[in-house]
Amino acid sequence: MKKSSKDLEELLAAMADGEYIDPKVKQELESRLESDPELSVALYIQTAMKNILHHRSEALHTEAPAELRLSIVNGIRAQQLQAPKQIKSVSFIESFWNALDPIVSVLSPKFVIPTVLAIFMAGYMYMSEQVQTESVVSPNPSMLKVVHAESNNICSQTYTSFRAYKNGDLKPQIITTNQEKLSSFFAENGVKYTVHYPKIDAELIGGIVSQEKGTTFAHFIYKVGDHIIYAYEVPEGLVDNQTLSVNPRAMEIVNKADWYWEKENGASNTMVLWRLGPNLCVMVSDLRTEQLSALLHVKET
Amino acid sequence: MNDSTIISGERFVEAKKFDNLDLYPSATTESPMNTIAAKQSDFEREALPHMNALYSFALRLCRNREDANDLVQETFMKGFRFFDKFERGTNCKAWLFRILKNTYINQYRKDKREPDIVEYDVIEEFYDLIRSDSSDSTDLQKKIFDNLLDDEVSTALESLPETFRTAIILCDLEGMTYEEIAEIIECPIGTVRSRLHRARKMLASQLLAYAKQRGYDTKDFE
Repeated sequence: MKKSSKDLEELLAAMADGEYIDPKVKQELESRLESDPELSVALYIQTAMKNILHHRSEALHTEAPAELRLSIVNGIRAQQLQAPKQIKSVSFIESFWNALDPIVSVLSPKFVIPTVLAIFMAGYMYMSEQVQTESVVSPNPSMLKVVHAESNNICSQTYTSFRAYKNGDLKPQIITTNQEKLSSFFAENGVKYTVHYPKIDAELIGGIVSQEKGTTFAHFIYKVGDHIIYAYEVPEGLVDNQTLSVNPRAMEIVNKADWYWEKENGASNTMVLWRLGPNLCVMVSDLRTEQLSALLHVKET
Repeated sequence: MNDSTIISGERFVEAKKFDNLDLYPSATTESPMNTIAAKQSDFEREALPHMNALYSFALRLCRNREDANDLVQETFMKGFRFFDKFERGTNCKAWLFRILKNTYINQYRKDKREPDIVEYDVIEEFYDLIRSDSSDSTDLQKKIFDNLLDDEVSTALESLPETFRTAIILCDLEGMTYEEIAEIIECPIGTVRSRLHRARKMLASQLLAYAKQRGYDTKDFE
């Protein structure tokens, strides 16, 4: 069936743009173009306008203002810092709208209101049923935290040791700036694995050994000015929930991003967990996150 | 051991019990350096290069800098919040344009019922001009359009009704395919083709009007 002139004319846009046209239709179009001057003019308009815009595209683009760029970058960083706090305080309504936002963002506006109403009604009916059997409907924020609660958790042990050291309750069993001497001390005192030591721009002070379920582990301390960095290095194979443990969420982050960082609630201490060869290393410091991260040589893992 | 001292009688294994954990509050993740940092890094790498294109588009939709600034800012904030839902490896630019376009329609568009006006008389005049021309189309294009100022092309573009303006900007300025445009404006590819066709005809009529205003002598073609 032959296409009307109007239909064919619209296909000229696709022809000018190099878009797909059914081969049979294209053949018909080309044949008509040879015999129909109006159609040729119509094609000319399509290509001419396309060329005009294409050739002037640089001039027709407006560069985003520097303030806007800065504001967006700052906004992204502020959003990520606020993210955990927002999780704690969202109400059901906020959660509802937050959940809808991606749907609303991609829906055609004419579908937004009916869709939102339908979802809201379904959600309301569901929540009504839930309230009858459950008095608390808001999520427990503590479920979203990475908690280092177990007594054999290497992160909580490092926090504890760091505080004890700062308070003077824990002293180095060896004071040395020499890494080899410290390794000898560890070996002599029952540490049966190789301690790899992180590459860090800080001065080694000394070391301590601890025992857990009959296995001896290495601790060592650095200083930078008045600040302390307390490190605990253990074989990953012994972090098996029997001898030692670590929060699985923290390990998941290490697996994905190589490093797990956290800032301690209510204090300005920073903790970092990462892989050091076959070992896991935890550091707690009174340095700020960015300060501690600047001291560590990140490529050495 | 000249440079080291072993502190005897204070075996850490004895002193350290790790049983007073209640003294120390549990720590929570607040650092910007874990997966959130990775997300930020990915987002900045994938999304921020499109800021100029998004800003230009926003400016042509809103027609004022203040609203364009807000619209682009909101687009990026939404993009970042829902970046987890963006399928990596697909077209980030088209995804951001879609967010921007929907945000604009939902929050910024002042006149939601803009009529589609086509001045076909001017188009017909243009057709006549070209029809009567004996020179090849490249020469004609040069004669008619080369002397147009960028501002005139820009104004002509802005004079188009929104739906047509959107289609032609995405195709001819942003270099998007029909499929990408169809995804952004949520309509069939046939509609994209039709809108583009009409948009270019309208643009041609506007540009011809400017050319005549600038003293372009149409007698050569009559």
